Amino acid sequence: MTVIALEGVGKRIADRWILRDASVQIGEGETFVLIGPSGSGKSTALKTINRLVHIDAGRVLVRGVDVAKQDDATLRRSIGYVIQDVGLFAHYDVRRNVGVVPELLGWERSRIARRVEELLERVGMPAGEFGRRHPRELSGGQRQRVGIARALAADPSIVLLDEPFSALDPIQRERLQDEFVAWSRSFQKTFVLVTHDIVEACRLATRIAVVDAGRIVQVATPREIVDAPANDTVLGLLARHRFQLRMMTRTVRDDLPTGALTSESPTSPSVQSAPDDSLWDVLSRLEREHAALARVTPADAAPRFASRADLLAAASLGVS
Amino acid sequence: MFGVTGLGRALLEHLQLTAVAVALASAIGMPLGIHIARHRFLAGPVLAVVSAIQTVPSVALLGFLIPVLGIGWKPAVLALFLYALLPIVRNTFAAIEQVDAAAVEAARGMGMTDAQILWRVTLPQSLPVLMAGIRTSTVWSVGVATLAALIGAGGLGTFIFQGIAMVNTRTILAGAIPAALLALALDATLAIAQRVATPRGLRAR
Repeated sequence: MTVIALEGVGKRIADRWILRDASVQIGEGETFVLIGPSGSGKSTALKTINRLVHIDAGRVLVRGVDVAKQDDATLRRSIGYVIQDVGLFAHYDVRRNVGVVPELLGWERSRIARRVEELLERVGMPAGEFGRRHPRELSGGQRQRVGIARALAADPSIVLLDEPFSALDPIQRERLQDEFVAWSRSFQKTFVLVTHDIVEACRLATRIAVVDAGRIVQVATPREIVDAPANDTVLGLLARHRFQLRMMTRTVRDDLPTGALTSESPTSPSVQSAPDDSLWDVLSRLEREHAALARVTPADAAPRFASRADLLAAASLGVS
Repeated sequence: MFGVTGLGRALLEHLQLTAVAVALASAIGMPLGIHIARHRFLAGPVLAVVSAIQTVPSVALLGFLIPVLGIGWKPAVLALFLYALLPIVRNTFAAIEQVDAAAVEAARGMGMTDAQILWRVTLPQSLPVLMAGIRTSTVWSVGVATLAALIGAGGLGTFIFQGIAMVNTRTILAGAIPAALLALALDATLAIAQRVATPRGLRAR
């Protein structure tokens, strides 16, 4: 089911169109990523959804209703919003920050308190330890965790994230990306995320829209983007990451020709992979565990083991 | 010739002049500062006018007001008010400018109305700088209020000008010392108020 639809959306500043004829349909439960170079219009496109940007052409439908026909504040309270600089309220403690939207919606105090505790727990910032701290007493990663909890507080079915991980250091960023993947599966919400990082996009997205110079140039799954970039802009985004991205967008279940793999139990240490794991996940695990082989079949099936060479070969299959 | 009751009355008059002028300047200056922070194109002209008032020598300003409002309490309060305006408008403007832009964007994105953003985000985060403006303006006003005696508005300036006329240092000091102490006392009181008004998350550690 489509929950967000942009139909021929355009935004003009003076007489320059910074977004034109943008059309996408975003389905329920998707993690939809808008990617493009800075100034491409990807953030503008995102902000048309909660009407932080008022459009000059086309229309935006959220749950089938034109956003221009709704009250801005009511619309925004029903949509979670996370930004790069987090924007926590420095004068509120963590609890109060997370409870802002429920408070605006007039929830009872006890219900707010319960919800805040539940969310802080889920983002790894237990209220007992962090609830009374103020934003400046937190690290960048901790702040963004609170920012994400705040966006989810009123249980919105849609959450918009504008470069949520871009300001974090690489270690924090990877950790939050991993957790985000787990959250996005467990929260059953529709996420729309803006980034300029193609690796992040392929890691998180169910589908990606590539935005360039105000136009959407390709909308596809990460794998389609990587295997069949629509034009030079998309190709430019992939650049030197392309082989890594091939491995990230191929899974053990679908892309590893297990029949050709060895079934002999290795004498050296091995690691176990899950069918949903990407080839990149398996390769990373081999590196981390200093192992030579990964068992790629479940415990109740015939054993098959993949080496690094098998994984690399599988990522190159079908690539001319 | 000037008893303790005379001093008490003069002190009270002085305090009253200052308080009324600063209260008026806050009532007008803070909304004005907020307004020019929201409509940036007005900031330049408004700050220029308010600063220009400040450049008029205080004695001259009192003189200018005599033909308009005569002598006494009213022109004195008006003159003090005009002087008190600059620190308050300028600090309110600066206070709002320094509020975390990301916090305001987040607030809007989460569905706060303009009024909610002002009362829940912008003003609490502006309070320390805003209070500093009121403090500056108060101390300034205590000093300028001594001149109010020149146009018959009373206050501690009465002693100072009597003393000057009679070449009597003790009488001058009878006005000058309480005026100085009053300025120090008000400054200290407002410093405490400023600290109390600063939300914990914004306090310097």
